[in-house]
Amino acid sequence: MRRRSAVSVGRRLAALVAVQAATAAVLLGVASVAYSRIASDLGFMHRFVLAPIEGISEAMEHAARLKLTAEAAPGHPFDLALMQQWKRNVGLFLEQYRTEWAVAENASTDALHFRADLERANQGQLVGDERAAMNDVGTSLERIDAKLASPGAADRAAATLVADARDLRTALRKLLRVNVAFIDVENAAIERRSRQSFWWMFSVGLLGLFGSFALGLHVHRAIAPRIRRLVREVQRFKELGVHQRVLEEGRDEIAILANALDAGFAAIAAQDRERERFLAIVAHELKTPMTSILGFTELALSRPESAAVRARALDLVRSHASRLGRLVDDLLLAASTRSGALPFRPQSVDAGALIQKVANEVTMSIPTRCFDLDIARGTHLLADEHLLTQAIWTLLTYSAAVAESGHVIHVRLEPAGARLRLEVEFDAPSVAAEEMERAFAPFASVQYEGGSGIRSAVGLFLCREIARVHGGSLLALSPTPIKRMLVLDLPA
Amino acid sequence: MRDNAILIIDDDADMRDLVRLVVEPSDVDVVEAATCVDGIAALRANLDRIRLVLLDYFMPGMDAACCARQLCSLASSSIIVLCTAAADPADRAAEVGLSRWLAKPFELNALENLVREAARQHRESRRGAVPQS
Repeated sequence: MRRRSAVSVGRRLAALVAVQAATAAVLLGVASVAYSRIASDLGFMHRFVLAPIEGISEAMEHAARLKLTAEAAPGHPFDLALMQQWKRNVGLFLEQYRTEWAVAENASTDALHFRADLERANQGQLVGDERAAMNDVGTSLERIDAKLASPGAADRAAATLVADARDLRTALRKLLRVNVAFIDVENAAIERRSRQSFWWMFSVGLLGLFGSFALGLHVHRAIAPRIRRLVREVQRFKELGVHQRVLEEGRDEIAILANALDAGFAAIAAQDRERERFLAIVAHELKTPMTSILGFTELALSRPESAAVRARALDLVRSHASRLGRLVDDLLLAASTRSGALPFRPQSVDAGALIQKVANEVTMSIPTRCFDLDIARGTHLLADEHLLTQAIWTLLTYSAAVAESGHVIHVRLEPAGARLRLEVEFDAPSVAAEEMERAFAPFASVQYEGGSGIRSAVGLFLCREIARVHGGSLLALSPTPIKRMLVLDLPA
Repeated sequence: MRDNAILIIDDDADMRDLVRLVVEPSDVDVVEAATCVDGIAALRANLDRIRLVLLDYFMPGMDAACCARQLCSLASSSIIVLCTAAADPADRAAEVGLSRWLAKPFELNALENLVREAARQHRESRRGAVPQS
């Protein structure tokens, strides 16, 4: 099954987050605008409507006192100073109203908004009414002022003073009604804005919800089936060990993950195959000498009279048992190395003598191979003899496996400063440097066709590990297109 | 030179030695070959007396299947047996087109029985070929 996915999972998720963030931002903006407008409306209502109403109430109270005092004047002469004080209070109110509260004459932003609200509510005439009411208050005050200019004039004009005070009260009441009308208009405006804000927020929220849902569904559809398929692949691999290529041709993160899983599975499967091949080779390597050992011992037992058969059997058993022992050691040490528990018991070892001994042993197993030994004197070092023997055996058998048939393998041991350098050089033009490097992988094995038939050798993984525990190294070199060299470098 | 012989094609000299030591007392010659090419040549040279061919699976120079095909075409009346140390000898025998196999390590009796069976089969086939008087 092939799936294409050009848009990355990250981008899909980023789009989802962007939609949600944009929704939240718009909601925040709408709420913020709504809050500031409503706060502004309420502030305006407080400053320009409620505060004037309080002032109007006080002014009406003063006007009422003026009127009551004037009405009682024929029988009760009034206190002119008090009357003037009341009139002055109303005058101060009018002045304050004109300068601070008058909607019609205020140039502030709030007043402009409010006048726009009045127009929107078809109550624009209220501005004129307010102006008219202020003029009426002013006119009444002027008339009262003229009559209160002197005590005599006031007494004489008591009757008309009552009428003026009544007119003053009427004008103030008119101003009050205008302000109450302002409250109605402003209240309606606040309600309208609240409704608008609500619908704005509701619409944006709904759009954001749908957008997020749709995008979330899209992301889910784009990711979930593929993740489920990957999980199925992992489970199948876990249960059956069967790896089927997961084809993800996209370039998104899921495709990258699938490809990484694929590569991992392929590597595990290849390692399994390599291990199976290794086990098959090891089994074959164990069974082949075992056949000779069992066959010859059975033959020797069935013919006790034949000394020749007995001698041949014993010689063969010794040779094959030694080879089997090395192979089993190699396997056990490789297993120990894999579990990180390679035993290391150093002691003084004569490396030259050891190489001589192992070369003889290998020659007995592979008589067609010839080793040319060039060993310097005084080549002692501190090493684990068992491990070093195994490493040399592996180096020589590996070289014997891959070297050109009939060619001599040169083995050179020489001191290099405070170290010992063992070089195993052979001709192997058909073995590429990469192929030699592959021999260092765990469970690597080399099957080769030698002069004496098909043989196999274990890889160099263990040998390199043995070098490592000794504080040394093992390198595979290709000094010329034909020559190959294995260099074991150890501290002396 | 005896009338009965077996051919052992194996690169392992010890294995050839073992077969020779086991079979020769039974009045049967053992013809040895270390490679398939030598084995085919030896069979061609001893076609009238080789009753049994033991072929090792891993052989230098030639694929075991190819070798088995040539052996079968040369000696259709002989028993050709694949010798292998592989874990799945039957599969390996089928792979190279043979129906008989000898799994290594084997008991010497199994080898002796094969030699006897090959001789008996040869006798029976010769008896069937002689016209009744």
